[in-house]
Amino acid sequence: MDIDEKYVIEAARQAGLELGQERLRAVLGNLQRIARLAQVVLEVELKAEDELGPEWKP
Amino acid sequence: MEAVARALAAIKARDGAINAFTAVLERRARATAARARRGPLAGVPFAVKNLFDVKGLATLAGSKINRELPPATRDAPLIARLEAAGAVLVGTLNMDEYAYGFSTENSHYGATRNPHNLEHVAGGSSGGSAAAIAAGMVPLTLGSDTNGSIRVPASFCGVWGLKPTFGRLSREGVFPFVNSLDHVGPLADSVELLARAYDAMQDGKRVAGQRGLKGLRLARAVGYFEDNAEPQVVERVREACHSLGVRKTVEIPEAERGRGAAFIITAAEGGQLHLPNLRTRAGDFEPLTVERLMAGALMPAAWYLQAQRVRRWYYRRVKRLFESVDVILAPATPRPAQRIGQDTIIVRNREILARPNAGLLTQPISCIGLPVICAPVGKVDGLPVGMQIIAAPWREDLCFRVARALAPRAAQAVAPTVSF
Repeated sequence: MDIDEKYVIEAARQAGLELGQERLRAVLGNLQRIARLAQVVLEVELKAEDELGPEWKP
Repeated sequence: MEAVARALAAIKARDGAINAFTAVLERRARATAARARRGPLAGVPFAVKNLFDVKGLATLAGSKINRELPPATRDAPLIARLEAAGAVLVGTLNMDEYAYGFSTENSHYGATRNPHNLEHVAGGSSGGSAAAIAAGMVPLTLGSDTNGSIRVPASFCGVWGLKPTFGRLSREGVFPFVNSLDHVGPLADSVELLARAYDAMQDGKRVAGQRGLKGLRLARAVGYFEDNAEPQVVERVREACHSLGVRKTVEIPEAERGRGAAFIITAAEGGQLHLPNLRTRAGDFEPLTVERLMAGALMPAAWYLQAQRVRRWYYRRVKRLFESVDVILAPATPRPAQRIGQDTIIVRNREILARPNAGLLTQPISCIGLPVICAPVGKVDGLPVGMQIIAAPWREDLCFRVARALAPRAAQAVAPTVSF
């Protein structure tokens, strides 16, 4: 997923956060740092046993 | 009574230089100490990170916003347990705002200074908890650890710290940060006191008196834990391992992904917790972290859910490791404490941000709730560094056995260098 200025502006609007231009840049920088770490986490191939919720087996 | 009077005098004399305390409870401490104190902690003065509820005080959690909260109506249960064991609460301690940081450079209450070199940070977020001990003001404190907030300051200040198994000690009456990852635990000037304090707070097997390495399978962590620490730090850990007779090495699998999962979970839950105030009064937050909290609040849900599932996946892999070893030893911080105000650090020739990366080596462990003692193992450039003593869940007793074996060496390794 691309995290760019457009994403931050829209997500902030939905969340009710007011960002000035300076804060927008800082938040974007932080989100992009998180995105780099997310990449390492997202590439893990998970199985059903890694599911968080309880498994219901009829 | 005498130890409490000494602590109060030491705080008066030294805290001006250190800035570890945000409140000193002189009247309460003298009144408590005057009553006959009995128990394993009789007369021991202690202080708590200011995210613990203390009757009569607003629970600041390092923030300006929380000053508006009504005073707590009772002490957090862990404070009550320590006092029931004879200890005497003398004050509350500085921290990073809402525990989101590793340096205790708090814009509202000032930076806490490292007693080994006042130009350097004390670490965080329980910076006041470690500095108060290192400066000889109190021998025992409580802190919290979500990603390394007990172990990083313990390492930077050369004191002992315990992050118990996730869920072992009650978080009731403790201001939250990340419900999935928050732990609480003690810091102390000796292993013996750390053990007595922990026993006073927990309901499991007693650790005081547990000693001896016979039958224990110890291993030193390599791979990620050496690649992300400066060579001199790794050397101090190797020396400590050598003194314990450790020959085996082990690689904690997928530590980088574990760290990534912890970082994402922290950002998302921290951001959500503070979203109402971020919407209406962002200007009242700590400038060093407000944008990090906002970024967390805007993160895609898919990242958070994947991080929680990866946490479980990672836990299963690490758990298997404990079939062949009992205790793993690893550096606690990539480097010793940086200077106050320093934005970046160099680790293995890479320039990285100082504040978010002090937890590079602690986050993969707390992500899956393993018990860890941070032990002082020596100095690098005149500043202390620590080693993590890591065991399987609920085996704090094994951490204590190794810590005891290290204790005589540790006392010499990090003697304070600053006089007041």
